[in-house]
Amino acid sequence: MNAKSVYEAVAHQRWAVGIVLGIGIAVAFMLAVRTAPAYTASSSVLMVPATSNDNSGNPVSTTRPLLSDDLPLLVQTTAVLQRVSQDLGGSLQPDALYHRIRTQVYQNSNVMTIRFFGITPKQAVSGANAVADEVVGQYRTIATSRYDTLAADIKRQLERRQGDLRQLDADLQRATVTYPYAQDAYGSAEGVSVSTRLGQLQGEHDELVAKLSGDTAQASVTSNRKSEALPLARAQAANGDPVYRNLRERYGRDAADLRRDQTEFSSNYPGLAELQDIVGRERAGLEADERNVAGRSFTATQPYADALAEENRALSLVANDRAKLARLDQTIALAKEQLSGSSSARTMISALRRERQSAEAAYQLLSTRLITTLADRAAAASTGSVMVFDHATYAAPSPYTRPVLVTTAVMIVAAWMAITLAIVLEGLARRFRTAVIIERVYGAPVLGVVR
Amino acid sequence: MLDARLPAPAVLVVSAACDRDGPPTLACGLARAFAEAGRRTVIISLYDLAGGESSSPAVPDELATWGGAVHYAPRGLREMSDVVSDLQSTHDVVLAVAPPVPKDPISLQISRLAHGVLLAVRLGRKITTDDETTVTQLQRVGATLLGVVAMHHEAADLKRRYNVAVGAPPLEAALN
Repeated sequence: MNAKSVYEAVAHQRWAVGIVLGIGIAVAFMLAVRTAPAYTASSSVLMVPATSNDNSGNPVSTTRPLLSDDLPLLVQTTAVLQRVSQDLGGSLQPDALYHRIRTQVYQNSNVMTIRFFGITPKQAVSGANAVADEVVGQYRTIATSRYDTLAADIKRQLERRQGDLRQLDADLQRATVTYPYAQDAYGSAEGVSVSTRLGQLQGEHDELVAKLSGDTAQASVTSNRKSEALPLARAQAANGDPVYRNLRERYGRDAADLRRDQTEFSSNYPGLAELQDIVGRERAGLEADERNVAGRSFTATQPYADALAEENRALSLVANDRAKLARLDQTIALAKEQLSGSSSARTMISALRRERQSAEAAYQLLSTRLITTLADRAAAASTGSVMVFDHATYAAPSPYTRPVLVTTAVMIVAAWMAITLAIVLEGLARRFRTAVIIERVYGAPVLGVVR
Repeated sequence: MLDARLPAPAVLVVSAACDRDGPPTLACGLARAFAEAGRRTVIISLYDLAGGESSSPAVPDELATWGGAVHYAPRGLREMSDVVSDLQSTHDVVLAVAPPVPKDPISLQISRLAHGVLLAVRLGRKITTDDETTVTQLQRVGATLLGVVAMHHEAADLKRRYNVAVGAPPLEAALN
């Protein structure tokens, strides 16, 4: 099929061609009216490749770096378009934005150019800058999102572990309050076990018994010393009494006279019986005075007072020792009783402590993982990142805006469809194309052709 | 070839099945060819006989200015027969340009009087029922279909073709 035949087909089917072209013009007009961006602003985004020779010692991210080829896809994501729509105040919906953004990545380049079509220069500039900023933000979100998820999960586990630790601490606190000696056995600050404490108590008991023996002996010595000081004290007390001293001198003299008279005279000597009676009364009076003196306090005498004080101190020490010994015996008995009855409590507390140690170790492990994750996140956000290379500052009128392109494309398509339709219809039409067809229809020969 | 098959004087009807197939153009060409061959040739146009809508647009006034043409509108079959007989007495070839056969019965009537019928068919035109009707009606009236001449679109343009038509005696001279 040559141009002439095509021309003839179009000429023959001019009505069909006209209808198709008319529809094409109407469609192009409607599309041009619907989308009328007239200004274009450009911004650039630079993809900074990640360096593999990082010697800083920081944790290295294992996230695959974004490639330049991925950036145009990132621009067309719904998240970016929604953010750009929000940045533009909601004047353009995401689906409308999709048609206003054009991206281009040059070969062997890490720079992506973003073109934004707007109906005003301000809108074009704002749109281009918003897209660049949101692409950078979206990339960082993607690069760090999995670390955020992991960190959030680890934090939840840490909180759960903290709750477990608090619960274990509370259980231990209750156990130690309930079983204080068991607590001492495993966790007190002094670190003394019941058996060790019992041994110490036994040692203290032995020391106290020895001390009691010593103090008892000392008390005995002081008691003897007091007894020894008693006659002297009595003598001093008697000597200090003038009535007793006078009576004893007179009794001495009368007794001496009586022994002399008895020696020199017989019992029939006059006055001897009377003298014996006097001496007897004086001795009775003397004995009565002696009793009277003995019944008075001897504390006034210095030796006896000293001995008495010393005896009292020794006795008080003995009493003190005995009291301590009694309390110590009670403590030892209680310790023995608790030593025999706290094995189950110790087992329980021991289990609680082991469980707490395990929980604390797990908590420490999670803490380490959280630190590592946060380091990875920081590394992922800083290495291989995307940054705005150039912000848009002005917008230029766009000669090849979408309406023009759409109109042109629609008209081209309409023309193509019209020609195709004309050719098809022409092929389907029964026409006098050759002399053979004429002869077949008319049943008569074709005598000639007039051109 | 056609010249050899025709008696002298001969009456040829040039018609078509559809409008704009170019019978006048074909007739002019034939007249020119016959004239150049030394035949006295005259053309009569029957387009105005039909009157009304299908009348004259196919045959412009230029035809009347050509000396060998007659712009003729017969009032009846007898008159038409008389005119044709008169023209046969003075001319070797009488070419009657008739309107499309299915549209005007005058074409069939003149075809019965003629020695043969030539049909013009415009190349590229759609085949219609008029084509079959034309053949059928010509056969029914006993007309002799000599053949068909294929006309290109440009050739069917009457005005251009008539402008190239040359030299023929005026109507009165032809009739006399």
